[in-house]
Amino acid sequence: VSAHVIANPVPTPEEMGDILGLSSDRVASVRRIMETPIRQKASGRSGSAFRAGARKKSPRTSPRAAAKK
Amino acid sequence: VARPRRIESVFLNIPYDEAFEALYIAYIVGLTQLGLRINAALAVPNQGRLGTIVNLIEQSDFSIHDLSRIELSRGVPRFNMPVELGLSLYRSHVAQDKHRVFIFESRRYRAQQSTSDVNGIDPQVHRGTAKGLMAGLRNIFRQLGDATTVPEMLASYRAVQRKLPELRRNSGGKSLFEAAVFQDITVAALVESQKLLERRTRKDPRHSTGR
Repeated sequence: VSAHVIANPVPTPEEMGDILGLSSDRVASVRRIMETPIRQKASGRSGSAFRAGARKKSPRTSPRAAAKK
Repeated sequence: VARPRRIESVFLNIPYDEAFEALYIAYIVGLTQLGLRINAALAVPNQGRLGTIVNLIEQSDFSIHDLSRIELSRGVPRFNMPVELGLSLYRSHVAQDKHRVFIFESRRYRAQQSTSDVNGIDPQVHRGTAKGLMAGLRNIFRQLGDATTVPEMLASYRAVQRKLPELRRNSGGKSLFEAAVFQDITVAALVESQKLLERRTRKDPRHSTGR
């Protein structure tokens, strides 16, 4: 199959919005969604508290510590 | 107000159902990021549907027909996609190749068995994956200048996938296969295209959009 060379450059979201008959508000709302970073699920603990908790917990849960007991 | 410039367009003949959702998103993101406008028979009622499809094919420079799902559905083979392929082949014939027809399949050599009349057309085999699909699209379409690579298209595909719940809410659609959601996914893919270009420009300031 011979590839077809696409003559036009990639349109901007706003240009495509015009072509599709979308309002500028609608295009802006999609842009906002795509540009907003995804929120991480909150664990209820800060990063440092989570790491401290993990450090405390690890000796008790390690197989060697369990064997000593 | 300036008239929008002409953008080459493709008629997309794929199954519009949940089982095909991932590839549906991949087609929208891939084709849009290659610079094409997609014409799709979404949310078209059965009455007058054939006329709408013929019009969409006539308006399109290309058509893509995904024959990976023509198997039995509740004991009946799914013929809509082969019918639309036939319409496009006729269009290509009468328009003297101004309309190009491309076929996608999930398995190698199956299209040659199921639809042997199209043996002259090499199907692109996507193996049911977004990566295979993007590679197939890059085989049949080339871009002038700044070409979007398959890994870049895949990264955009994943970014759009992550935002699907919000995009669906934003357009008020219940299903991804409604026209409003489809349009928003198209715009979202182009927002990702712009991010790619900005990233490239930051890495190498000689890169420009060419616009």
